[in-house]
Amino acid sequence: MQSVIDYLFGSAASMPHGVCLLWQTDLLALHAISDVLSFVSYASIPMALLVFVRRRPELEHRWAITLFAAFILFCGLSHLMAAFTVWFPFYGLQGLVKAATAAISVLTAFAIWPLVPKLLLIPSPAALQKVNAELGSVNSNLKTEIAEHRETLRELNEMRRELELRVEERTRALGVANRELERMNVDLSTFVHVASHDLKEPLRGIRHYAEIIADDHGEQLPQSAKDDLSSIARLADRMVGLINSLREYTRAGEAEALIEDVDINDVLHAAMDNLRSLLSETGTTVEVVGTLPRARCVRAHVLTVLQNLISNAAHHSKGRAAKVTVEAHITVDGVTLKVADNGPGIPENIRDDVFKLFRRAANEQGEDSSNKEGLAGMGLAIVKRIVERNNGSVKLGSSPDGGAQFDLLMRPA
Amino acid sequence: MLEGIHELPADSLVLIEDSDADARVVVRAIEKNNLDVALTHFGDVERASEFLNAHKEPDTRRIVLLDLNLPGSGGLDLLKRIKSSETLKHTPVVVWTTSDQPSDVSDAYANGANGFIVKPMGLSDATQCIADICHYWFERSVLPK
Repeated sequence: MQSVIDYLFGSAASMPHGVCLLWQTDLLALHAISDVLSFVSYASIPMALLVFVRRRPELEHRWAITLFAAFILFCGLSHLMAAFTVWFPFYGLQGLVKAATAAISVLTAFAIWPLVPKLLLIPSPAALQKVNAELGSVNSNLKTEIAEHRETLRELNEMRRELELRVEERTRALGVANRELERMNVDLSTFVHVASHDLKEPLRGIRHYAEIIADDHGEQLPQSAKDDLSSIARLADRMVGLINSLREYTRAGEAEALIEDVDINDVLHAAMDNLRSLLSETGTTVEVVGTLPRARCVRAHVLTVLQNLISNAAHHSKGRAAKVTVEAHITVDGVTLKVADNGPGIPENIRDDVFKLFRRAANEQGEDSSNKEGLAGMGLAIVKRIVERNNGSVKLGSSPDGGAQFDLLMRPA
Repeated sequence: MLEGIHELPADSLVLIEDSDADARVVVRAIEKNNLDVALTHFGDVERASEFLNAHKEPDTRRIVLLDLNLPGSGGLDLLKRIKSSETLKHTPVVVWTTSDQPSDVSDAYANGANGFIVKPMGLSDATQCIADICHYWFERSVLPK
């Protein structure tokens, strides 16, 4: 134990360093004061470093700064020991402190080289400031852009609101127009019903008076006057026929259209039944090609269409017995009907005209061409109107035997 | 006008019709068919209604031939009045009109019409039609007295 203490703090044989300095006061003072000042400074520097490290916990390589602090502190301790050894021979202790200082110095020396490139990577405050300035300008650019986008968004929203308002307004206007149109439609059909009634009454009177005159005074009249009287009666009849077809035409466009499962074959027979006297008078025959299907459609529409087309064929057979063929299919598009006859056909240049109201073929002018039903010039217009009500189309062409062929498509909805 | 002089009260046809031409046809049809029918003709609803209420002679067999399209309250109104009157409701009323509109037909029957005839076009048809009506109601039918 005594030997360890002797080793550290010097035995009786050891001499303080002052002896070497021959106890010259100025030398003693120079050494001692320099060493103590060095120690105090070397102790203060690590403290500052530690304070710095503690305050910047996010800093990289803090261990390196701590190592420097320790290295400086030990250098300071070495100076303190040098000051002591001027008066006290603590050479063992001084050696230990020097050894520790050497160890920490070597460690620091080894640690510092690899650290250099890493430390070089840390940007300088000037560089940071430059980057910061750049970031600032990018930031302000972004802010401007965001503001612009917000403005655009606001404008878009405003436009959308405006559009919505406009759509709403247009919808309202359309509704009003629609109601007006519906009202006009009702007005029109009421008008046609009333007018047909009121127009027919005087016509019937005209015909009856003409007939009464012929009946009561026929013997006193020359033949030409009797002929004229019968012309009056016939013209009155024709006018009634036209009024009836006008009403029929209006009815074809009216609303009640019940879509149901319809047996086209049944409808064809009903049409033929309605036309029985015309068919037998003209010797017209109707033939079905294949079988007629059942289809979802408006029965009354199909009936009117078939009746008008068959009647059209019967009336235009030019004295021959007409043969009408009827074909019907269900396709992806809807119900197709094909009605063809073996009559004289319809010349291509007037094919569009035959669907117009009150239109008759050019070679048929004159009062004798009017048929009993008064449907001359109306039947095909009615067909077209009905087909259009069914979102379909009607095409007029030539049948294989040179007659007229009507291809219809109906899409009831 | 009352026609036909008879020991027994004649069968009576009351015609309510505002068209002279159509009335003329009915008169002529009765003449031409030699029908033993007394025809009384009115051109408006009020006078016809007055007559029907005032002249209900017992033992007279009477039918009404009624046009719908009449000035004033119209033929349908007269039909309603007749059919809601205790004394007149048994009188057969045959509607005689230009209209073949389904709504007119159903309205007429709903209000108690006993027949609905659309005026034929053509003198011979009309003459025959009047004869048929008279024959059906006065010869074939049993009427309340």
